[in-house]
Amino acid sequence: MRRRSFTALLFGAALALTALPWGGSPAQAQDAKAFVANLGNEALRTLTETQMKDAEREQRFRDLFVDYFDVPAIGRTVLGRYWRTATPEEKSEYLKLFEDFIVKTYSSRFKQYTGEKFLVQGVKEDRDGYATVQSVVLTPAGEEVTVLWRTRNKDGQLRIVDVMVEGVSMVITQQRDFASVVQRNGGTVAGLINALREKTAAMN
Amino acid sequence: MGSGDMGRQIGESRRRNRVRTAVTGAVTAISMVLASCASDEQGRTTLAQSGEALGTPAAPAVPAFLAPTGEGVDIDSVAGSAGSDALLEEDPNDPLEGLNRYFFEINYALDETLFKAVAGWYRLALPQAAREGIRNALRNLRSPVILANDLFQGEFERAGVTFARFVVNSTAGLGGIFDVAATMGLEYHDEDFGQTLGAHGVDSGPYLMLPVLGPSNPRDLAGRVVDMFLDPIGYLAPAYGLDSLEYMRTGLTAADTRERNLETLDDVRRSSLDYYATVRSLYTQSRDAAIRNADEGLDGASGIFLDDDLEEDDFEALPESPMIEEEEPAAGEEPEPIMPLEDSADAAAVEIPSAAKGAQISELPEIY
Repeated sequence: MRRRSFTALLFGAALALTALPWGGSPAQAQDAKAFVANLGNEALRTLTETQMKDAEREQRFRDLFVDYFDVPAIGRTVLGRYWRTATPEEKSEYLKLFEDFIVKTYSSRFKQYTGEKFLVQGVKEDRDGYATVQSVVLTPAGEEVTVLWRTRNKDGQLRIVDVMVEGVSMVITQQRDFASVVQRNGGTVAGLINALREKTAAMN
Repeated sequence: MGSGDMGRQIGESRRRNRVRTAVTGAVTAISMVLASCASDEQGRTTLAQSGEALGTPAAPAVPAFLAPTGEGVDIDSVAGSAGSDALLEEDPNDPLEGLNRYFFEINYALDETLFKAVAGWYRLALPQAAREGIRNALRNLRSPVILANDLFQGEFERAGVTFARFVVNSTAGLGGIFDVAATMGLEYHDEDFGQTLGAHGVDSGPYLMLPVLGPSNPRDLAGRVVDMFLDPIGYLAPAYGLDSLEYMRTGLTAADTRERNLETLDDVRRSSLDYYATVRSLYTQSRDAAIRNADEGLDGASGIFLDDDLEEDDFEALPESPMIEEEEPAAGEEPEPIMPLEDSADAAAVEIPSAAKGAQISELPEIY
């Protein structure tokens, strides 16, 4: 009964109800697990009120996003090789638009919360301060969606750097999307920035 | 070479993983829905055309019996974005992008005007429980194909699960309507011959957006054809004059799949700047994950690395771990796991070190 639904994923992010104990893992991995569970709890607490104004929900989502995700690093990664070719002005404008784009895209999905549950199940530590936390989103219809959270501990700061839904990396997907736009605009980051500006404006 | 490495990785991860449905929602939706309308002949024709377009020696993805002949398609004239810019060689393996985008538009228009509406009616007409029963029955009917592919992949334990599920659900589950087996811990998983080929190290070949059929590649398309021959119901139904049942099954499969992805596809479209490129990436990634059986759980999962130290655009500096840059991206960085670089039209001219090819392929499949 698995439904591969990004909507469910995003509800899931709102709904970390449990962090089951997972004995034997190093402290750092436990931190990563608790971190993801905290994000879920926070999202559940702050984003799922049905009466909330869109702007308010967006702001709350943005706060969580910036607190829990390494947004600049993700933004640079998503731009990939084109980061190098961008001017300093383009870089800063791009990062700002990238954040807006993600916030607008994903915050609205919490409007349709219908009681999904979010369970943090386990964690696997990787090298270089990375860890992957496994969670599952349970929909009211009994479907399950596996969501993995890639975290990185950098200089003592824990942040999420990617989200993988059933084997699909959001960072890679976004990178592909942006790379294509850059290429179809003559290889210029300016073209992407324009497209992002139009898209975020259209979502207002 | 990448495919060999991947093959080994696949072998390892496969043992540790549960399998599930082949393709992530968005993509399945398109291809399955559209599959319902496609005849065998259409499929073959398209494959042949794509094979011609391939036209390169580095195309092991096309089995001999499907090998292309006849007039070729000029790749460069079709691939809109192919160019000499050094930044473009790392593109997804999509030499037919121009043509693919054309069919993508057509498929999208078909979906908007027809399939989406049908899926909406399907949801309205039947309650959740009924739709679930139908889905269970459809999955049960697919058991022989899944079983065969479990066996082809040497997954005997999984084959046992598939067989047991079939027996239990066909009887206690009243012809498969109720998934009794799942409550006994025998959970559903999907396999297809495209995955079997991939598990044995066959490269996907170039991305193809098939008219009506949706996203694919020569490997997966060949897999579909083989799966059709593997399906005993495909033989039995006509032999007993039950063709209409087979059509109904195909139609229901399409409706079921599209219905489950009504919201997902809309979300993907709304949240992407380039819908085509996003779907292409989703398809590629999800097929890769399905082949590695890494699309669920931590065991076979892969993960990206951001590298603070990677300042140069030197792919050789990446011995094995494909780093995604944080400060200064490498020119070679472009994770697309299934895309075999060797097959890309531009790859030969680029002289990417073989280590980079390995990195290219293992970018996503960073197996723990």
